[in-house]
Amino acid sequence: MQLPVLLDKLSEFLMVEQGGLELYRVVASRCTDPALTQRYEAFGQETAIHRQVLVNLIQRLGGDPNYVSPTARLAQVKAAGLLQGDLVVDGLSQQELEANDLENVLLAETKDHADWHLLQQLAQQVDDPTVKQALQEVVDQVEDEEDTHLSWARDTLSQLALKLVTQGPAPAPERWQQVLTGPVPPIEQIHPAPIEQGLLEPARLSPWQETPVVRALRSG
Amino acid sequence: MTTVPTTLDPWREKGIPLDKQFRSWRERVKAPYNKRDVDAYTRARVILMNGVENECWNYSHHFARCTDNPAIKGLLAQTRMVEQQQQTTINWLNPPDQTVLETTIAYEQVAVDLTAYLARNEPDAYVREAFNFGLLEDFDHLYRYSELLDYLEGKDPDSILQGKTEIIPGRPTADHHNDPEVMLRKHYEKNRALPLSKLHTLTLLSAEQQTYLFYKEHGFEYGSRLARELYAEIGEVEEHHVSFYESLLDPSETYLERQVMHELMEVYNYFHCYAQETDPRIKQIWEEFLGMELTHLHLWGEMLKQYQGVDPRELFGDTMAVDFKFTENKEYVRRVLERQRDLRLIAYGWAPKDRLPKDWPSYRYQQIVNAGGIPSEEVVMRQLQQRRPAERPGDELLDRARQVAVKVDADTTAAAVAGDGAATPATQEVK
Ligand SMILES: [Fe+2]
Ligand SMILES: [Fe+2]
Ligand SMILES: [Fe+2]
Ligand SMILES: [Fe+2]
Ligand SMILES: [Fe+2]
Ligand SMILES: [Fe+2]
Repeated sequence: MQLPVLLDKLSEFLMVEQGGLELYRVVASRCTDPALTQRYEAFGQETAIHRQVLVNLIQRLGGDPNYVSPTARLAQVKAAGLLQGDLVVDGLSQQELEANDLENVLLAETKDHADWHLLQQLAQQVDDPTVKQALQEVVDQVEDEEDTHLSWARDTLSQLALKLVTQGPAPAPERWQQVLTGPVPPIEQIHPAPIEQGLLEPARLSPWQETPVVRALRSG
Repeated sequence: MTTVPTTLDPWREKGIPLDKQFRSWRERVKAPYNKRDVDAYTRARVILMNGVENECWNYSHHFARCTDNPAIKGLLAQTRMVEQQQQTTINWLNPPDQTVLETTIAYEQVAVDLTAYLARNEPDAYVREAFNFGLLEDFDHLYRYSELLDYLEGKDPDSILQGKTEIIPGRPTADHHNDPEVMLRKHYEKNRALPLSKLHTLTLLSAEQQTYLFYKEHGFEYGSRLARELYAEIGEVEEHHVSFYESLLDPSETYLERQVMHELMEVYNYFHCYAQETDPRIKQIWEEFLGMELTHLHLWGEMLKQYQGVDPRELFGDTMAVDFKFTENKEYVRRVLERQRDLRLIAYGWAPKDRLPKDWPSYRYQQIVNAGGIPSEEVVMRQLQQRRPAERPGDELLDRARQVAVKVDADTTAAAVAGDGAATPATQEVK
């Protein structure tokens, strides 16, 4: 067995739990649905325990929990990327924001779940009896919770989306088909004295072009 | 002037290979232009392109601080070194006998004629109105600094402007001081905005940032309290302008996308510089730098394709029409002044100043900064009190501007905002 490879992976998995903890902290703080908030807080607490479990495992296998592997750094950037989204994109309704938070939980838990699934498979296949024993113990402790985290996120998100599509609320008429395709209403509505005279040829062009996708499809 | 095509395929045009772009100190530093016979718009191009290069240098550093990819970091380091060398060549064209204030007049001339032309060319009405708004502010700066030039150095501002740009009070500088959040605009949508709107915005942003840097870097060089304060005041307005124009950019543009945009913006601007330049020596510089930028563009376009799977042509189009030129915009500026002098900013929009909400955040901000005197007003008052007879060629220009300034002051309640056709702006008296 390649212990350094395993320890690099464990460093990464530890970072994933850390990223999950931070994610739960943020989404719990801004969720307006008490049932969801409660789940976020409970899963956050479990995630904190997973973090401790992994630290113990790393030490037990002779690793250093202070070690940060390259893939751990990558996992950290990806986790931050989830939270980066709504810093870069505005214009979402409260419902969309909260659904986005839940979707991020789903993405994070998908990775988290895959990590623990891998540890479970390793526990079965590895021949070093001490490593096998150590892995089996942590998997027994955590894996069921990861199953719950993932399935809850997946089911709750689809329920939420179904409810939004079937029952609404729909975005305000001034937002629909505007935020995404043209950021503002006609200039006369926001400007008391727009300039029409003295303009040159390019100013008469349509200010909007088709999206890159539509243009690419059109050109074959 | 020989006719130059105004359309190019920037992706296919051949450039200067990257390994042939570094220059010796000797090659890099050229003789400055002569401030007495340089064409005002040649000087304007020098000022603009210095600002463009500084922006590209600055952006490259931001990008470099956020990437750990060796190929990208490496190319950033290479192209950034070239941008930096180009910047030296360009900024060193300014002559040592041109005073800070004279250069300042030229900076505001750039701001006026750049902003006006970009506004006249801008397809997106919202972006255009943002430009129009900034236009009237820089237009007023030109007047205030002209008074300072007369007061401190006894010089005629028209020796810089050469009759191409007018000196008339615009929206009074005292009213440019907004609550920082009020300045923020909506951004264009990157998928649907025309590349032209993106290039316009980035170009103007570069120029405003350069103006900010220049005032902040030179305002202290004068001993006069009034001059030091006026630079502080207008320097801060330029900071407003940087925030204002940068808020038009779509924040979801990625680093690589923006890098390509910067190179495209350089190609666009060197191209019109080259096409319009009347000084053959300086034209050669624009041509050479255009060749360098084409290569930057190709290399960064490749990176965008390689690391993001995005074809830069799909993003920015196959061909580029370059319409910009430095030219007179007097009539246009007057029209904007007539219609929009009394407009003010509200959250993401505009409103006439007599219809602002009572709790408009900028009132509070103005109370703070204008407490204890307003340098941009003081410079005018001081000049009015002197009442010197018109002696030199430029004096009647300033005289005329002062009459307008007094009129504007006495007329603060007049709604100059058109729309009802009843506007009686001060500018109508200036003929
Ligand atoms: Fe976990
Ligand atoms: Fe989990
Ligand atoms: Fe450059
Ligand atoms: Fe200005
Ligand atoms: Fe400005
Ligand atoms: Fe460049």
